[in-house]
Amino acid sequence: MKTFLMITVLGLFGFRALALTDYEAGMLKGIEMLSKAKNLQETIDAGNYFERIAEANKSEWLPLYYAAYASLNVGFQQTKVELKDEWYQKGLSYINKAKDIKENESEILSLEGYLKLMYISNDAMKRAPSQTREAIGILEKAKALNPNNPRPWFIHGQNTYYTPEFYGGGAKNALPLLQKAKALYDSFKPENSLMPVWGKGGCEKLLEH
Amino acid sequence: MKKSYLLIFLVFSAFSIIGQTNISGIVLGEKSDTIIGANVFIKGAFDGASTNMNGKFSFSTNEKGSKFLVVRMIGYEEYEQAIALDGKSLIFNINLKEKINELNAVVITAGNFETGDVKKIAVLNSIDVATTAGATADIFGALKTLPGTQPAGEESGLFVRGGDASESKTFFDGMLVNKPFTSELPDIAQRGRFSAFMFKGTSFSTGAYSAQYGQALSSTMALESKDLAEKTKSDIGIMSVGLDATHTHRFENSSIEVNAGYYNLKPAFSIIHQNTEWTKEPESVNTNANYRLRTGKNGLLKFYANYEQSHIGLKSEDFNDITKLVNYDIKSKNILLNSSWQQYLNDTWKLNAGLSYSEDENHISINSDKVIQNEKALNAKLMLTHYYGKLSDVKAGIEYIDLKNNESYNQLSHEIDNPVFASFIETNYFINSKIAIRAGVRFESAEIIHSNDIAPRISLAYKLENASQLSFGFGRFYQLPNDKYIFDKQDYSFQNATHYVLNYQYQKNDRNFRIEAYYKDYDKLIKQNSLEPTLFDNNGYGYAQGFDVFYRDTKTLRNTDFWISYSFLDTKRNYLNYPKEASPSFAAKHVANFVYKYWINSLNTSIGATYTYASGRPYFNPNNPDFLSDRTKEYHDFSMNFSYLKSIAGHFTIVYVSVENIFGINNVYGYRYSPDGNVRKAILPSAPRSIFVGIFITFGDEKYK
Repeated sequence: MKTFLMITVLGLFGFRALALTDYEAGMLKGIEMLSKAKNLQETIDAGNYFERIAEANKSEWLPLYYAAYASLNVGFQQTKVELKDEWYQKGLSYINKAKDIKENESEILSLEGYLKLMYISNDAMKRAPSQTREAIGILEKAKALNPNNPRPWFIHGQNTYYTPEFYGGGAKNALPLLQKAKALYDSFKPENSLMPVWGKGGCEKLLEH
Repeated sequence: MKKSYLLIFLVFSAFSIIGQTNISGIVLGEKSDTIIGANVFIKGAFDGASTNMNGKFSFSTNEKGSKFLVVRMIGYEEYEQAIALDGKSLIFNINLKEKINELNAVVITAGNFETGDVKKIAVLNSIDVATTAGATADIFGALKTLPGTQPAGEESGLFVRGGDASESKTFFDGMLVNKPFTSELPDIAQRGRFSAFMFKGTSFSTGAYSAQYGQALSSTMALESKDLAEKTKSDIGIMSVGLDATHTHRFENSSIEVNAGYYNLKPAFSIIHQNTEWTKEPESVNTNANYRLRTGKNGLLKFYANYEQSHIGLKSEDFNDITKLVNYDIKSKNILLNSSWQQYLNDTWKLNAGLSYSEDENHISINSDKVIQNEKALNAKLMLTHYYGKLSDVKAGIEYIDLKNNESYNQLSHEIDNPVFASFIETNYFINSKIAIRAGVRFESAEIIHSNDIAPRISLAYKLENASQLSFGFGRFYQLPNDKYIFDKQDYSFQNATHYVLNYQYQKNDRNFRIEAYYKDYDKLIKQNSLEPTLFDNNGYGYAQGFDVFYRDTKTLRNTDFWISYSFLDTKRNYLNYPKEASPSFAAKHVANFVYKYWINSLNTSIGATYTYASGRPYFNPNNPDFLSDRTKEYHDFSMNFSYLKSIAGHFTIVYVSVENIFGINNVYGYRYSPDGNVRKAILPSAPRSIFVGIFITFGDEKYK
């Protein structure tokens, strides 16, 4: 009996140690929440959840990254310009914290570029002339830091796609960027199950057009 | 055996039941407004929830003992409360305080039009300036479509709220620009020296402005130049009036831009009918350079140099005998060096330093008479800013301005050296996000007239519901008499004006409405002695009152941007040679502007149209015993422009055409009479209409690629 109990107890603890820490379990739960979020409230819930993980794990950049990614998605779903602005800015504030933890991370910079471009597009007339260059520069840095990361290519391509042709945008100019992104997505293997994998669907959709 | 298992299971379950605490409640704003999506959690744990559509939350936690409950929400102050987790359900009623930030805080708007690419209450940005019909891409031209200004075409400068052009001052990165306009001609207003595209923001104040600025009775225009150039590129402009080339080079932490232009209006004037008889159509060369250097992480040094040379000749009326014409010929040189440095010393302290020097020389011949004017201006400024609280700051600075003016008339010359020392301190204090106070005081000392004065300035702003706010501004302003009076006699005091401004503003999305009422009291203006006409003193006085209305809307109509401005002005003064208090000749009672811009996406073309109306202006008629009681006819101007954007062989190209006063309406600015009053001549624009065509091409800018 004793042996049996010992085995059970050890097994339980051992299993935990081998399989998942609280942090990892939390992250997986958060990633699932975010990927299944159907509406504004659920996206906010997921973002808040990541914020809580970040609060309890101050040396991890990924929860901040996902909190920023959730903010981006909340921003998408907002209809008012001011609210969109607020959420993109909130996303960028997570990004800044994430950058303090991990410098020169391709994924963080990709998302930073994305948030900045979305912020710019919110008032393109005023912001695009002075800010686009910087945002694209961040994406370029993300590309250079990890040449296998498809996301900066996708974000760049998507932005080009929606930029008026006159300013060097449009489907034709976006095509090489999106094709490059697609090729990278096809061969992309995340380092572990917590790392970002998003964007492939969106990329393929744009390529269909 | 089975029993003991059951026991263990029960004990564990019981523990977990005791261990779990339910936490629920509601999160509201200060006015019990629901807050949706706030993050409510136990500090250091993953346990928590977001508030729902009704502001309610509920979650359970396994944490035990003394913990902190945190509520975090974008736009609100973070809330933290100590709680004890012992299995008993906890219910909270939490009110969050709105966080003060630049986006939701009140802004001091009394008297002020912020125009810029970054500012929250931007009214016009640099592209707006370039696309405003009738403004000919001139910053001052675009500002004349804002309320409070007069459409004066016979004299350079801004005539603001009953003030004459000399009462408006221009500042470039905080430094005074002594000669912001190209060389002055008789009865013809000149353009500003600076391209609208050099600046990222403009703060145009029509009253009650900050203690940072002095020596201006009516208005200040503060131009803030752009930071580091974004990219390396070259631009050329081929225009109906000349050629222009710019090269910009961007380095990692610095950028440099050099520009050269040659302008000659002869070809254009030979085609377009002119009222003015030109003996030498305006011809000028201009070169300028600017350099920007990042200093440390949070510092920026800006340096700008400009050299301009021009030659113009025309036949002008002989002011002594208007039936005759005189040959007026002017050759001008202008140098401007402007430097400014801004450095954040740490999170709460900022240093601004600036140094500028300019020299302007005109060689004028009027028939056989020769006039040489030489003006040198030196300006040094140092300012420290300390930020405190959430948005509040306090600024203190000292400034030294030295103006040297030498004028010679047929070898007879006189010179003045006119140093002014000033210091100021001012705070922007936000009591909360709804109430802000700006209080400052400026001390000015002018050695030449042995005058010192203290100018208090105060503004209040109060945020109302629904994106609107009220502001009030008060200030006292001093200005030296014009140099021409100081040449012979220095026994003066400062001229002064006191401003009272009340402003209401509504701004939401892309609609902006503002209405502003003002009262301005002038005192100690320069006055000619009625018994001794060669003697001047400070016995002049006057007032201006009225209201300005502005509405801009870029939202309601698709691809359309329009604004309407209206100014009502009631002003009288008794100064210079006025025999009694009267409305000056530069003041029209009603002025209205309608500016319309339409963007045709499919054609990459923008069309702009501006209509300006002004009621008749007073003019002096010696045959009318009632001084300055005659009025000119009403002023109408309808101007259009269009720009076509095209990528030619990969180069960004703009084709720009503008026509001022498209219908050639005969506008009259005033009349000049012969001494006996029998003959009069109308003061007319230099041409009934003007046409400008230009092609601007950018090389090396692979935009957004």
